[in-house]
Amino acid sequence: MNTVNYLGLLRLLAPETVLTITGLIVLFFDAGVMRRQSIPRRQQVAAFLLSAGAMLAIGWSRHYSLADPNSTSMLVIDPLTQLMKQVILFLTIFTALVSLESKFTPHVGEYFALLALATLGMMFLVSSVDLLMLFVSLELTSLSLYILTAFQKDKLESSEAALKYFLLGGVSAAFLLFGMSWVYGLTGETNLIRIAGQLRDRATDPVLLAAMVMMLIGLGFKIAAAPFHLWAPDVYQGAPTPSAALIASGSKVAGFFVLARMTLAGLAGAEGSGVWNGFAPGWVPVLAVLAVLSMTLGNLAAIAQTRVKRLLAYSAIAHAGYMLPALMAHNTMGTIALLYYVTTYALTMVGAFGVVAVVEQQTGSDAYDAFTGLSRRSPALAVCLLVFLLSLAGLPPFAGFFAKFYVFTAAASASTRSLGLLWLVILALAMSVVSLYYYLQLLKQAFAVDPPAGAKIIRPLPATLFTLVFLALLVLLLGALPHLLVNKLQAALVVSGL
Amino acid sequence: MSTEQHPYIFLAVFLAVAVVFPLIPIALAWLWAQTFSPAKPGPDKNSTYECGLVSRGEVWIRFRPEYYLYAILFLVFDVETIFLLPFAVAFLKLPVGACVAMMGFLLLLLEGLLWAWQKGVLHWK
Amino acid sequence: MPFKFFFYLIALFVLYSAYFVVTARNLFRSAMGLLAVLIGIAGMYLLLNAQFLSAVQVVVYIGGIVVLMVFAILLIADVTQKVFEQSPRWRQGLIGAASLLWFSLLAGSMLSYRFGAAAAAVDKSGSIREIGRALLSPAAGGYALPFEVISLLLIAALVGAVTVARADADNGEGKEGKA
Repeated sequence: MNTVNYLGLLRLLAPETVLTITGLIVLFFDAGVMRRQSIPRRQQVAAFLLSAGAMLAIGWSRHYSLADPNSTSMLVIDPLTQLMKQVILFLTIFTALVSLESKFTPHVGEYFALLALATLGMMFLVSSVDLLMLFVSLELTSLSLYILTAFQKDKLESSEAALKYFLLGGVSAAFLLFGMSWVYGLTGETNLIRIAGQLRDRATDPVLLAAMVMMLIGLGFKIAAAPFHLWAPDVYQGAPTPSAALIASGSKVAGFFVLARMTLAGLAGAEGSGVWNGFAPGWVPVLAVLAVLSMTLGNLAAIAQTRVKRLLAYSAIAHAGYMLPALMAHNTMGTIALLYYVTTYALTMVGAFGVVAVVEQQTGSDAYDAFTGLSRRSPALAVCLLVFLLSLAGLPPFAGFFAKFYVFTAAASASTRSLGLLWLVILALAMSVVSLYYYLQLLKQAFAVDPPAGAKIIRPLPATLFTLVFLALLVLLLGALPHLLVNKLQAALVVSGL
Repeated sequence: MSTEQHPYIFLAVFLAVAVVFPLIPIALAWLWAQTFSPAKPGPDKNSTYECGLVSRGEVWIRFRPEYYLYAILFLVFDVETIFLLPFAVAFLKLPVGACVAMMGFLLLLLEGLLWAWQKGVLHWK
Repeated sequence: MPFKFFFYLIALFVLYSAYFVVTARNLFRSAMGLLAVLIGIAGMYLLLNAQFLSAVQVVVYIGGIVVLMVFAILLIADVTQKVFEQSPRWRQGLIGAASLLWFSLLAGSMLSYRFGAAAAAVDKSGSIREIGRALLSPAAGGYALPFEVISLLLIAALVGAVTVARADADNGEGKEGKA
């Protein structure tokens, strides 16, 4: 029965439907009812509506039935996808709450509606198993993010960043699409699972390798891995800080998840090998190149930065490099490590950008100088910053430590051959030490240096402060009790079998 | 359509006519000019013809940004129309659900238009 | 063979127009070159028996996007007179060499494989009626879902493009919208 199918589809996608309606409500409520109100008031209402809608979607996403594989070949709905959608929805809520602090646009309703649309794109991205669906949802995400980047219209940097993001994003999407078209030409299929079935016996076909490289270029851009990272510093710098927070967190989670799905499910059997002295063509060695370049370039360039958002951008590139070895392990442990890493990393990144948003709003700058003596101007903010940066650096009591730990053990134990991926792990460890230097450099500025004379006390809004403290506690909690998340991921992964 | 005739023949004919039709008067005019009025360029002759008045300003004028907004709106609904065409052609054989799905698609875009209207984007300043 | 003849004819036309787009020193001329490229591609679709796609190409790309581009060019009046500086010789050479390398890699791997078998596996007739049915079918192999996502994409494009391109009270900076 066809009508039943439509209803079934709608029921499967209840969270997405709820969020779509939320986005439209936000758009219309702001343009209609709230038109005469002050901007902060409109921001509060829009953020509240969006958060409420996202919470509703989260609640709904917990009640799902496994999709009947015959009902649609476009999507999978399983515990893992639902878990990742919940993570993305939480990240959106945090972003919305952090946005309250910044006053960068009079178009409040549009901003929050686009946040919802970007989130929707990410949610579809997490679920899609079809090249067509994947591309459409990727475009929805990217397009919304380009526009969110351009939202600060009184700042030239913002427009410039959006233009660069848009042009480079368009080129990378073209690569992705071209690669996909080759895969379609090879197999006559767009469904990833069926593609994998078709490709099993011709994994080393030069056409497949070329197509794979093109698709990895497209996705490598989304996760900001070097050498496709050139947009990241400018976009993180130029975009309004809350937009940058979403680009650095939610889009990263969705990007890595879809990369994992593409490689582990769609290109299964075409791994090749990235072990030392034993390279074989496939996607693993391609990712190895990206990982090495990202770790080295990201960390070394971060040292030279003097503005915090740029610093976070280069560290994001480096982190993409750390995460890739987990994917290269291509086993369950590696996937769990990857998802744990990207989730905790995203939470940390939203927090870090939240702190930057507050400081930037109240001092007008995100240079290191603006953070001078932060511990005396706003102790709570300074402590939050400390937690986020040390977690990013991967120090023990924080979530970032276990994230790195899992990734590195997964990568090191992935291959039984002589050195395996250990060479990559050693490089990553060395680079982590380098990264400690620049994080501490910023923390020194915030804690050890006296504030300049006449520096104002920084007072964040209660809602923002609450969000940041909550995020910091979450990072601590996941650092102290990592199995909370890991067990969940493991259980979900067993069912979904990615 | 007969099977011997390729269905694209008429397209080719259209194309040929579309190219030749404007070329003929141009060619005739050129031939006329060759014989009866050889080129004698001068400052007056090279200036833009403006009803016999002395021409002012440049030929390239600056468009108002409002046109651009309309062009964007047009493009979005242009794409929508394209999707409506296969729906309309297949309409008789479609289940009820398909029409509902189409309504969903149309409603979403209609809301976009309503939003633009409410925001005063359609208002010509 | 008429197919091969028309294919190469259109391919040459598209390639020449594309070359014109990137080498023209005047933005307006580039846009016109792009128009020619898109017309050529529409012809290519016709040649491959994808009439609907060809019509889409004409209506959306030629009738919509190029017009939008021309609008954007005319909004910035002096662009049409501005002659763009070409990048230095060494950089042109470098880009050319890189493109050539990339092209030969792709062409090499493509020539090494016969796509014929897989292409035969796709036997959809591509009539508009069939497209309509597939577009709205929710079942496996149907595209109802991506279709609805496209409406979200369009609304994001609409809201975003209008918000970004619209002049606020105090400034009128614009960025090109995308569709």
